[in-house]
Parts: sequence; structure tokens; C-alpha cells
Amino acid sequence: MSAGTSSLAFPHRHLLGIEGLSPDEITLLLDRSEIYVEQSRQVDKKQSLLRGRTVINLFFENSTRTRTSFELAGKRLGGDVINMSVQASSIKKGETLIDTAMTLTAMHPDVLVVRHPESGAVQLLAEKVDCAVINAGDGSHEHPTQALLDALTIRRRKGRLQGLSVAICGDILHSRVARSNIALLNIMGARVRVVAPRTLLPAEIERLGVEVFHDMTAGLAGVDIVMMLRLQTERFHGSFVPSIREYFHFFGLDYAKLAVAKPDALIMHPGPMNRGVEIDTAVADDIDRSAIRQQVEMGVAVRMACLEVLTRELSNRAPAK
Amino acid sequence: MTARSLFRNARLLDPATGLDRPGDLLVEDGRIAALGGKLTLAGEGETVDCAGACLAPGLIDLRVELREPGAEHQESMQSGALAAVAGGVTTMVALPNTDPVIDDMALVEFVARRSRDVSLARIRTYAAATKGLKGRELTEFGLLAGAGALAFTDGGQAIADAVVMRRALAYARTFDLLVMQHPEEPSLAAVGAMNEGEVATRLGLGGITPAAEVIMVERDLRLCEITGGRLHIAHVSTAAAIEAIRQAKRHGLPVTCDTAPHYFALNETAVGDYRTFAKVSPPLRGESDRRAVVAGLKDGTIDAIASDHSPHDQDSRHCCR
Repeated sequence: MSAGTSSLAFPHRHLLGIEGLSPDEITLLLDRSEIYVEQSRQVDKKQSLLRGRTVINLFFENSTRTRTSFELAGKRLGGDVINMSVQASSIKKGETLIDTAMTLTAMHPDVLVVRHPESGAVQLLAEKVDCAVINAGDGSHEHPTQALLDALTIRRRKGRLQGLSVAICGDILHSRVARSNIALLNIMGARVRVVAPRTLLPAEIERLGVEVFHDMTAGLAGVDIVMMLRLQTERFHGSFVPSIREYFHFFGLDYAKLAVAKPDALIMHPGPMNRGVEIDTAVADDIDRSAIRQQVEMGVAVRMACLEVLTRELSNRAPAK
Repeated sequence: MTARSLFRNARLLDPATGLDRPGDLLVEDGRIAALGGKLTLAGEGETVDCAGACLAPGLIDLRVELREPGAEHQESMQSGALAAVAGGVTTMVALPNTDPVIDDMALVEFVARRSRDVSLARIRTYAAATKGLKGRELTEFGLLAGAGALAFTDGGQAIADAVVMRRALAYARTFDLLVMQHPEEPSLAAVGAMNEGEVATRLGLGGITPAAEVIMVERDLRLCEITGGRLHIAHVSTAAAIEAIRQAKRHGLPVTCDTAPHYFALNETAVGDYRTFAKVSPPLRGESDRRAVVAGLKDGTIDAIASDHSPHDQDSRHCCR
């Protein structure tokens, strides 16, 4: 193995969420990712760690960037990667989630990377298959690789996670990115704030270990990191904010609101961005402040690390029954 | 020759007469011949040692859903009645949310005939309060009651329109009939999959606020007050609703209510790891609401316990397709 094996073990069969991971396990994944950041910057980006392994990207929900990122990650490790977009095929024919999973597992994939619009669906699927499962986002629940790539981005820019003050702003209610980030940042000893109108905050969010703000000026005061979230209008049932204009006025990130954060505060966004809705274009494109493009780069590296740790100890399997 | 059975060492219970004592009970030719402290078998017969178990009249389950007619693959009157007698239930009352809906005399008579055919537990039925459970036009309360309908309800959905509910209570009073309500403000319930709070927030599931129950209960208590119609509130599950009913009873309103075992035996943590089998309507609540249900049973605010039996096939209990 060209990348060398870390002394720390990753004792989980699947990566379904950040909740339940230890600080050491997160650090392991971030450390492994560093190696793959370097590898991805080489002319020759490919190695053979996953040679002979099959990765299936099983996406029940539209995605371009996450699916592409996982696909590149699998291919750069030398694995065979195929993509399945299921919203168009078998679900339309009435096949259940479990039937789809059973069909795929009979083809002996080593890793299933799954995205699904319902919270909990990826966990249900993981209980039914005999390969490793990576949650690429389930409903409003978790998106663990996004939180890991965000953590890697922060660690590279700020040198640490411990003790940083992070404000997560916007549509917390519908956001799996927010839940995974809240979990990870708490585990790693950062201080987390959420900033949103009350209609976009889930009940008892403060019990997840965050300080709650309803005002950007108060919420961003003195923070090291500003994470903006996409307004997920596709998950809206009814009206949560009266207009885009009003939302941007009070909760969109522009230089005026950013002025209260630390002078070197980093701006992040999981993408895809709604420019002029939750973030001003000039702020998003500010090369000194915005880490948004770096987040995308880190995404591939983090997903390579996740694929690596979950495929380290595979053994031959019995025939499909 | 007389067939005799002697049940010894039982806890003899009869709510109608207030009997609750240890003792024996003698059955001759299918009828209770004697009960008392120590009985002996005169002549041939079997002796059953009850070892302190309760011996009581058959239980009446005042609210079950049976799926006949229309969804016999989930439950038939035969399978429902077998389950009932296995649990000591000798009479049960079915909700009208079948296909077709029990909103016509012929269908009330159909239930009576099927009950005779099945000949296990006695099956009675409620009739729909509104035609087709659509919540708009009242059914023929008088005629349906004459055919054997015991009360009027839209089953698992609330009679949401206040005018319709007011007229249902007023019209029911004309014939001294009972209206039973599923107490839940439908628009608040529609946005959630489980009880609102920390557990739902962690799981990324939409929450149903406990207030959805008391909002409907308080409205209906007002309507009960202005119409004088008898109101039964089904499966109460929240402290606020129970307190509202407690006060209404104190003011002499003609209101009764029940709860179901899961509302005093379980709380929302049973949904835990996406256990969709713990998804019920109304949802399992938080621990303080569960304790309020226990208190309501103890002080008599809650008049009865119903099973709320709602058979579903396994596939429809899994979260998603």
C-alpha cells in the first residue's frame, strides 16, 4: 500500500453519520485525507488500493457534485465505480428500497455510497446489505463526508478545530449538513452557533450543543468560521420565509454582516450556492475569505480516505443466497 | 351429564359489581354456577389452577381498526377476532375507516353479519360522522344508530371543520348519540413524522407539536359546551389535553376520553434508531406527557383504555419506497 497504514483502527463497518464517531476516529480520517489531497494534486492521480473492489454510487436524489466527488475518489484509488440514479428507474416501477438494495448486494459490491431524500433510509439499507455503506446524505439527517471535508478545510486554513467559534447560518431545519457539522464540531471541541429565523430552526436545537441566534450581527460577532447553508426550497412544505428579498436582507451573507466576524474569518458553503439568496456573490468569490472552492477539493480527498478505511479489512464473501 | 370446570386460586374481578378478591369459580354447562373462597368439584370435571391470575368478564376494546371490507390482506374480521380472543377481548368496536367507508346502514349490517359468521369475539362498529370521511356532510346518524352503529367518528382523522363538528355534536344530541373525535389539528400534524423535540431534531425528522392535540381538544370542548352534544375524545396523549378535559369534566361537560397502552407504556425514544414500527398516530410523546397519561388514568380523567389496534402489512410499516 503506497499510502502506508495508520496505526489507528477504524472500527466501523459503515459510515452512516458523524454521531457515534470518536475524536480519534475523526482525526484518523482527516489525517488520511491529507495524503489524498497531495495525491490528487499529482499529474498521476491514480493508485491501486481499491483494485478489484467495486463501489456503487446509489443516488435516490439528484446530485452532481457529491456523486462526481465519490466517483473520482473511487477511481483515484483504482476501484471500479458505477453510478445508479434510482429516482428514474426501479422506484418508478414500484420496487421498494430494500428490493433495490438486495438486487445490488447480489452483485457483490464492496461499498455502496447512498443518498436518499428520506431521513433514516440509508441506515435501513445498511441493515439489509452485506457490504460497507457510506451515507452520502439522508433527508435532513446526516451528510458525514460533508462535515469531514468541512473539518479538513478548516483544519488546513486555521491549523486546528479545537476552540474555534463557528456560526452555521440559514436553513438549519432542513439541513443534514448542519446536523453533521454540529456533531463533528462538538466532538472536536469547537464552539458552535446557529443563526436563522425561527421558522428554519428545528425544535430544541440547543440540546444538540449549539448557541442559538436569530440575528446575523449578534450571531457572527467574533466568529472564526461562517458556514452558510443553502435555502432548501425543494424541501419546503409551505412558506418558511416570506420572500427571497426579505431573507437576503436579514440573513444573507454580505460584507456588512461579515464585518462583525473576526477579520480573518473564513466563509464556507456546502454548495450548490444560491447567489443573492443566502450569500452575496462578491463575498462568495472573495479569494481571501472564501474557502468554497477548497471545500470541493477537500471533498474528493475525504471520500478517498473514507473508502480506504472501510475497505481495509474486507474478506471474501459467501455466494448470494 | 353436567360439564363442570373449577377454576381455583384466581383473582376474581368484576368491575360491574366491584368484586376484587381471591377465590375459586365453578362453571357448569358454560355458565357460572358459583364463586367464592374455596369451592370443591362435586362429581366429574376438570380443575384449573389459576395460580393467582386474574379471572374477569371478557374485555371490551372500544376502538380497533379492522381492514374488512377493503384491505383484508392487512386484517380480516376473522384474524382480528382471533387476536382479540387470544387477549381476553370478547367484544370490540371497529372504526369506520374501511373501503368502502362504513357510512351507510347496509355496511353497518354487513359488520353485524360478518361478526355472526366469524363467531369469535363480538364485533360492533362505529359509523362515519361524515359521508366518505370527507369531513363535509353528516351521515344519517339516526338511521345508522338504528342499524346498530354505536357512535359517530371519522376514525383516524379529525373532523377538522369547526362548523361540521358543531353540527355533528348538535345533531347527535337530537338522538342522544355520541360523537368520537381523533384530536389532532391536521395541518400541524401533516408536517411531521413523530413527536416534535430533541429526538426528532437529531433524527432529522419533521416534528408534530404536542399542541396539535390540545388545540383540537379545546376547540371541541367549546363546541361541546355550546351544543351540549356528548363528546368522546380518542387516545389522548398529552398533558395539556388531559388537563383541558379534567377542567371540562369539573365544569360538568358531557365529555369522556380514552388512551391506548403505548401512550403510557412508551415514549418518543422508542422511535430511536428509525424504528418505524413505533410510528403511530398520534405520535409517541415525550416522557412528561407519558407521565401525565398515567396520572390521568389514576385520577379518572381518562375513562378507558382502548387498544387502538391498527393492523398494517410489514412493507407499509417500513419508512419509504
